[in-house]
Amino acid sequence: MVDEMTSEARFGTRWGRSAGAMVAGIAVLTCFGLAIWREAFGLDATLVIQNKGVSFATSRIIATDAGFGMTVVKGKDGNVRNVLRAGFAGATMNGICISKTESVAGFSALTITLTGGDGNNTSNEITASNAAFDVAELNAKGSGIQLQGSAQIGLSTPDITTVPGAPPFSRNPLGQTNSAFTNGLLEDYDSSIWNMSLNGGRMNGQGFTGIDATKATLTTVYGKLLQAQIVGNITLPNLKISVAAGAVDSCETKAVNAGWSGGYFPGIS
Amino acid sequence: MSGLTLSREKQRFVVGLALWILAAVAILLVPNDGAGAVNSIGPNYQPLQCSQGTNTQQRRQTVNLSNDSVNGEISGTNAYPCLAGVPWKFEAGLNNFSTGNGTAQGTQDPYVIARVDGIYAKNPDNDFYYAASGSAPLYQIAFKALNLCSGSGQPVSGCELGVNNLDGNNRNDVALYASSAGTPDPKPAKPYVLRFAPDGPITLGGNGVITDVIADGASSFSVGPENITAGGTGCQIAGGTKYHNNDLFATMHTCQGIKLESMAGLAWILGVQTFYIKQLNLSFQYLITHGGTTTDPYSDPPGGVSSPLTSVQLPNTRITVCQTTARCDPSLDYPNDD
Repeated sequence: MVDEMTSEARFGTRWGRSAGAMVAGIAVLTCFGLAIWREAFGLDATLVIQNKGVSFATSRIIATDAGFGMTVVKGKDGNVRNVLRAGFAGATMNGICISKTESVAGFSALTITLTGGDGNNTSNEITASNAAFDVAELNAKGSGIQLQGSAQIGLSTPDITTVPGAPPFSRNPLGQTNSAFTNGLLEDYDSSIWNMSLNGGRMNGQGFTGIDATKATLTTVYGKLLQAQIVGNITLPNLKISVAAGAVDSCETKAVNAGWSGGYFPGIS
Repeated sequence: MSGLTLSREKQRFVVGLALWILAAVAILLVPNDGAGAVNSIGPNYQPLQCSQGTNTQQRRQTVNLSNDSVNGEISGTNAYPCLAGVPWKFEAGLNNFSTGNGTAQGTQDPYVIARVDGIYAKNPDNDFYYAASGSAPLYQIAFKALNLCSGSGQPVSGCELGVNNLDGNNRNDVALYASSAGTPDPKPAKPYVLRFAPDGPITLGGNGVITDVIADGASSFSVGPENITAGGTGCQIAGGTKYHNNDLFATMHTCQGIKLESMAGLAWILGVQTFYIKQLNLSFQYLITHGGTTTDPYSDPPGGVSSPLTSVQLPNTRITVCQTTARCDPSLDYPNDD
């Protein structure tokens, strides 16, 4: 599901590269918007956001076959950093806000903001399947995080099952690094990820822990993502994309400044 | 017909025998929770081989699930986790609550921070493979519900929420976190701390849910005076047999709490108990919530697949990934994120 989000992933491959010039930035923004726009009409496409520090907010996420596992990603400099990868077989959301500020030639900064939703706090109008997010930090206010059904804490990340939503489950659906499989064994020691090659190089996610649950509900969510990927279909009504000069408030900043503790995300109507 | 006439003694014997047979049949037919239900490791739910050397599933452990009775197990129903070997910590309450196992407390902070319902210990000191470097004795604990800072008849001001004890007031603030530093080799080359910091009433388990925890020996919790009685021989834990033989406290009859440390103290818990907790320092390798009569936790979660029951509640929670336990602030660890 998340092959592009494994150790081979690179920060800045989308918006970052487009930040060199205004025209290029708008072009990428347009492509980005179109990809989601096509999804809004039920067309098949994939949404991928690869960058560092993308601000994110939604009023509610209800996810089935939810998994949260630690893994590492590599930056452009080749250094690894740890992230919490959240993966869902299916998810519905109540409104969404994604924003990113980039430096652009000729401008001090340019902030791109994407919002979607129907403004109704009782409906989860956004649907997505086979989704994954790399979390740097995340807040869930109000009832916060609720795990439902059988919840497990302490599994190795490649043992977490998220897709396809029904058995048989895929091996290593969160794309734990070093995903070289031999008959179900996760092998290949990588010194940038593990400190030694014990266990015959069969790492199998040792040292990378996570949570698996039948279902997860997160409310009043905002924070910072490093990567996002939605492979399955997306329904995203009332999509709005705005571009503002300067480092205007991010989705997270809007949430903090509004003292957001529940209800629909401020600014989405 | 006279040949069929039985003496009074023989009639009693026949009636007695019939009752015995009826009782025996009834006993044999009494349904047993999970009896006959045997789930097993399979590629549907455990597709990854969790190898340790040539044994392809050695690090995958079999955890027999509990029901709500004393040392109760759901026969043949297991979880089969591939353990990560990363210790998770669940901390709350005082962190200076004595240092000795079984030590009774005199004048102490009176706050109770949690209530745990239906707790009992089982399978103490079993060996678990949780890392490539081998096995270690771990302890299985089961309970119905852990209500932390719930305020249900208990003061909650002892629950300090937010950053972990940065104010130096000797209370561990509520935190659920995993630190890769405690993993046996091979551990992650770049260490991390995954931290869940809730700010509100926390519940593990609840109605219709049983929680099994595989804890390590460094765990401890301290029960409050609600569960302690003072006697001539010291302070006794409700439901337990252990008396604290501290002459001072035995003399003063001031039993403000007892610390159960290194898990050996759990042997003092007899029966299914409700405890009021003043301090919690749980270190565990694995935790699972499940139904009390489930035949398979993977396909038969509590409440069913379509409307599963809430089994973990972490309100107002901040999730962070950082490098150390102290001041978990990603913006300091990764200043170039923005």
